[in-house]
Parts: sequence; C-alpha cells; structure tokens
Amino acid sequence: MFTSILHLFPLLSTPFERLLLDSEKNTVLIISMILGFSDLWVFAGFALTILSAVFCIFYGIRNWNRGGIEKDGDYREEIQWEREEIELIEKLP
Amino acid sequence: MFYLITFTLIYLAVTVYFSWLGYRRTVTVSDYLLAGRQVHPVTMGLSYGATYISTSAIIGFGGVSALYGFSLTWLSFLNIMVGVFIAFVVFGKRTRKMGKALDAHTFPELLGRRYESRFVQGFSGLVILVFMPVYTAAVLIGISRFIEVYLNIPFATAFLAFLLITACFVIWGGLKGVLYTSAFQGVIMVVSMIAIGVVSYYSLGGISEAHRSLDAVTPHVPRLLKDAGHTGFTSMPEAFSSIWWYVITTMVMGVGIGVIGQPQLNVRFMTLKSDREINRSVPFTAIFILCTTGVAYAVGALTNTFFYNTYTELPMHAVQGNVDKIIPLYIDRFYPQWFVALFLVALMSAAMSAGSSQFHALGTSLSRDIFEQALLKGKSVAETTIVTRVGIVFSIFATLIIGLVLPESIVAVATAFFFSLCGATFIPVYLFGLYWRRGTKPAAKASILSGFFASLIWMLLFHEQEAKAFGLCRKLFNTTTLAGHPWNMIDPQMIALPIGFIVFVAVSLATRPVREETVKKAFVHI
Repeated sequence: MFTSILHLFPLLSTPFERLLLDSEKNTVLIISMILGFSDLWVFAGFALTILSAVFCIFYGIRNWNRGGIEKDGDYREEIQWEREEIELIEKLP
Repeated sequence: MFYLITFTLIYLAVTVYFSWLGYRRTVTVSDYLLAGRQVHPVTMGLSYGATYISTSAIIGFGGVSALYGFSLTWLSFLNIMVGVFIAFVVFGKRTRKMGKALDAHTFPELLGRRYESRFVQGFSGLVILVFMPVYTAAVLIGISRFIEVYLNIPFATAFLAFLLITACFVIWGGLKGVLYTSAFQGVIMVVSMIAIGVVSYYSLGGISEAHRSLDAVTPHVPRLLKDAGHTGFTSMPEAFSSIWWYVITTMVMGVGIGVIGQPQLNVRFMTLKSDREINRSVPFTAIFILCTTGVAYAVGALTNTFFYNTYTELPMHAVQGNVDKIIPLYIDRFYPQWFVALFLVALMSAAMSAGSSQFHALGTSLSRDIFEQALLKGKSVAETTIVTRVGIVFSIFATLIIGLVLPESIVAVATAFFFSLCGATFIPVYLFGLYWRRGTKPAAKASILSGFFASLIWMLLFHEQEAKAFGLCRKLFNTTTLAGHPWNMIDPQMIALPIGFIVFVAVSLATRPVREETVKKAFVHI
C-alpha cells in the first residue's frame, strides 16, 4: 500500500523508497500510523508544518537580540525624512 | 442574536478605538504609508499574520480542504516556511534596508527606485490596482457567506454592508490604524481558531482517532472525484491525476510561493526599525499561521466525519457544491450559538484585517505609484494622502462589482489567482533586485511584462479553470482550452515564473546595468 505512493514524486522516490523498504521497523511509519494517516506524504506535510513552526520559534529566540544596531550613517535617511515631512506639513493648507 | 450583538458591539468598539488611535498618531505621510517605520515586533507579527491569513484561508481553503482532505497540509507547511521564514529572513531584511536606503514607501516604489524605472513602478501599481480587488472580493465573500448562512440574510446585502465597514476603517486610519486593528484582530483569530481545533479533535476522540475516523469516510467520496484522482481524505491524490495537479500547483504552490510577491505584505517589512524586529516577529507570525491555517485546513478535512456521522452525507453535498459554505455550515450546525457569534467576530477580524490592508495597498498604488510617478513624473505633493483615499474609494467600487459578479465556490480560487499572478509578475524582479547588483532596468521591465502576460495568456487559453470561465478560448479557437492533460491543470505561475526568471537573467546579461550610484545607494545598508 505504501509503496504505491512512491510514484507521487518520482524524482524524490529513491531515498523515500529506501525508507519504505525498511518500513516494518521504521519509526516514521509507526508515528504516521499512530497519528492516523494512511499516507506518508500527508504525514510528512503534517510533521513539516509543526517542525517549521518550531524552527521559526527557535530562530526567533536565537536571534532575539541580533540586528538591533544599524550601520554607521544609517540614520541619515531618517533625518532626511523628518526634514521632508516638516516641509510637506508646512505646505499643507 | 443576543450574543452576536454583544460580541459585535464590543469588537467594533475596540476596533474603532484602535483605528482612532492610529488616526490620531497619523501625522505625516510616512505615518500614513509606513506607520512611521517604527512598529513593535508583536504588532508586526500579528498584523502580518492577520493580513496574510484572511477569511479566504479559513472559509475558502478550509472548504477546499473539506473537498481534498489533508493534502492541503502541504500548504500550511509552505505558509510557514515560505510565507514566514523565507519571506521575513530572505526577503524581509533586505526589503527593509533597501526600502530605507531608497526612501521607498510602497512595494512598487521599491522596485521602481531599485531599477530607476517609473514604468516598473507605474505598471506594478496598475497590476495591483486592477487585480487586487479580485482578492479583496474573495476575502469579503468569505465573511459574507458566513453571515448568509448564520443570519439568513441575502449574500449581496451582507457583502455590501461589510465592504463599507472595512473601507471606513482604512480611509480614516492609514497604515497605523490598520496595524493596530489587525494586531487586535489577530488575537481574536488565534483564540477562536485554537478553540475550534481543540473542540473538533476532542469531540472526535483525539488526533489519531479523528484522522482514522476521517479515513473511514473515504469510501463515500463521490465517483466523479475518485475518477479524477481523489484517493481519500488522509492521503494525497493519485499522482499526476487532474486533482493532483490542481492541488499541488494551484492550491499548494500557487498560494504557498505566490505569497512572496504580495505587495500588501512586503510593505510591512518597511515598517520595521531594524533587523532585530524582523527576527523577533518570526516566531509570533509562525505561531499565528500554525494556529490559524494549520487548524483551518485540518478542521476543514474533519468536517467530512462530522457531517457523515450526523447526516450520513458529506459536507460537499450538504452545501450543494458551494465549498465556501462548508466551514460556515459546520460552525452553525455543530457549535453553540454563543460560539457561532464569537466565530463570526473572528471572521470579521480576519476579513477586516486583510481587507483593510488590501485597500491601503490599493490606495497607495494609485496615489504614490500611478498618480505621482506616471502622472506627475515623480513629483511629490501634499495631496498624496487625499489621492490615496480616492484610490481606496475607487477600489471599494471595483471590489463591490467583482464580489457581486463572481460565481459560487470562488474564495480559494480567486485567492490563488491573485497570489499566482503576483508571484509570476513580481518574484523575479524582487529577488534579483535584492540580491543581484547586475540586474538591469530593461530586464526588470521585460521580466515583469513577460511574467504578467505569460500568466494571463496561460489563464485565458490553457488553464482550464479560467479559460472555461472567461470563454475567450472558445470564442477564438472553438475549444475550451488549447492544452490537454496535464497542461490544462498546471497553474499559470508554474509556467510564468520560470519565464520571468529566464527573461530577467538573459536581458540583464545583454543590457547595460543600472547606474553605479543607484546600486550603491540601494545596497548601502546591506
């Protein structure tokens, strides 16, 4: 049954095939069955959704304080904007 | 009705307050267009998420998920990985820095200034102005279908009323108002969606039991769908079947990748002060997307079990084929009245946050990109804010007309259409603009035009869904579509995006680069 899904993505089938050939002992398959999915590709999508969210959380925590300081001179634009805004406001009726 | 009125009034009062707060703090043009470029990361995360995930994700794609099952789970993966991580880290950081260096206020303006091209800015603005109302209409149809089912009032009345409420907020508030309200609306969405997810899984006996019970419904899938490749609600469609191509290229990749080219989302990166705010926004947005789309697609699929166990019919039959009504009907039939009212408020939040950002993007496209660039040849005037509001009013009318003429089961389709079109048109110029200094002005023009027209031609003559709806192919060639299987099922973005990339690289290598000082200025902070 599970080998029938191999042809879903032919380009990716080789590593997946190897995974499935060992399916009886495969923990991925067991987790998929436990979660009630009959198709490993659906399980993969489900797992990747959760893993990608965890990855984003990890990324945010790891870089929480990074990137706070701008390079020298980066504030020039802000000063320029303020100047332009003041000029613009003065022109308003 | 008591719950509905109470919840709605509380919700509207808070929304009005936030909108007023935004209005009061909107003093300058930069405030109106970019929220003064100083937005808190949580506000950014919630508002980005609430703009990205609208009623079209919950109602439209939830309904599609009821039809095709858990194969849509790949879309929630792309929603997080591409729509959050890649969008923020790969695109967002450089967008913020380049936007600041080039003093860009809108997404088309960023592209226009990067390539020194008024045409690129004006044309991009025009694409947004003409086609975004289709997406806005889809978002508002989502909420209107719910109001139609729940309150039993005509769809057109619900659509019109909601359109006017959303428009009022954005006209008065500017982006600061939009950001404040959408962050508040984001909180409501997360809470309601988590509640729906927990209740749905709990009442079906937990995650595994719920999925197994859904698997048990598979034999009742209509023959028509089975013949087209449907293999069940907990498995992928049959490889390379019509449904497989449709789900993978249109629903999953069209929306999953197309998000990168969304102007109303990209402008958000320019509202942040530093990269630190982007880093900090990533986890909040990811959690938001997981709790909203992840839940919506899962619950959408699970509605099959609920409907079959209770009424011995699948939801697609209960709604007579209009998949946009599946989630509204599920909530209406299986939840207590107070929760239905709360969910309606959550949907209002979803529709208003996405709709208001779209109206804002539409208004700025007209004022900043078309009016100032195309008509005034780049001259900045004080009337910009007024023209933005005129643009919003114009787009309200466009949305109204489109919303009333679109057929049923259209929410997810119209969303995918706009995402796909934006993806094919903007992604190559956007990506190369941020990462490749050698990209040229003619290449940007050629890539935008080829991506846009390849997408449009594919839709009108080859992609069966749109070709059938527009009927141009039948008129010209006396056939529904010029392509046979599988080409008639492959989403336009899959064809037009590679064309846009190839054209950009080829033309760039053959033409003169953008002036060195402009490139230096654009990359000054990178």
